[in-house]
Amino acid sequence: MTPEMHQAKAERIENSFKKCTTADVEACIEVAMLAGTHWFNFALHKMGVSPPQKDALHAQYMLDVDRYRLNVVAPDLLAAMDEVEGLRALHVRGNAPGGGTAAKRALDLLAQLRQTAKTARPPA
Amino acid sequence: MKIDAHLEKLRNTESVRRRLDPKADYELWYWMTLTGGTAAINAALHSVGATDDGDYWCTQAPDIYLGPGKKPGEFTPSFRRRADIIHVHMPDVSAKLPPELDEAIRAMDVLEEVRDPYIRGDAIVTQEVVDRVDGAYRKAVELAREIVAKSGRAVA
Repeated sequence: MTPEMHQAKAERIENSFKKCTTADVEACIEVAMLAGTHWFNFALHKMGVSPPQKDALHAQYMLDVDRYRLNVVAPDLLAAMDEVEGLRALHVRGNAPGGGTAAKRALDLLAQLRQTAKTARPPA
Repeated sequence: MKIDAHLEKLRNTESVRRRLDPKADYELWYWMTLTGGTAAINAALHSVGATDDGDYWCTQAPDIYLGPGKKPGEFTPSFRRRADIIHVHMPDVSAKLPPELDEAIRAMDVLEEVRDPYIRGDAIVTQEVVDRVDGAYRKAVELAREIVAKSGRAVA
């Protein structure tokens, strides 16, 4: 999808999340993954790391070579997406202690993904 | 993960689901539907003994589960079979299942079929799609709850 379409999807999902709170642990983490993945793709396309015809489904499913490229271009973006995915195993599919803290961390990571995406530029 | 923990996930996602508008908030509503439905199927699979209810949790990589590590707050990955599923058919369950559980899984297939075009892609959400997802979810969860209740467990 084009960056504009990813932005529209991400903002629509974030708008829906206004009906939730940080007590909704699973929703906090899943909104970070869902909207965050759209911001992630927005950034990848804006940076020229991948074209609009090639969206990432999950950061962990990217080819090693694409993760390596992204890690050179925008390591914080990849690290944030990986951390969101890690929270899902522990607190969405699992019931590890500390769900409330994880929920807030997921929303911080989503804000970080959004901010990085909105300032993403093609390489010089 | 234990049956009660899966049922708690189901209650949590249903709570969020009720606050969302199925069409205006489709993406998050759908995702809570998918997450809750899969939790219900996991509970049902454990209750018939088809999968293991140990305290290790699905990662995004099939057959790799996170469990408590040696120190509090540490988690260790391990390769396992017959544990929680991430999605229906991911991984496939090899055990022979009661017909009503097969039917619940088929209902969840309906949700999986419509996932990517509307969540990852830009397909327009119609009332027909919402109704299909809602109907399939209700059927899957109702069947799963019945299966768990048959095992003698109280289902809230």
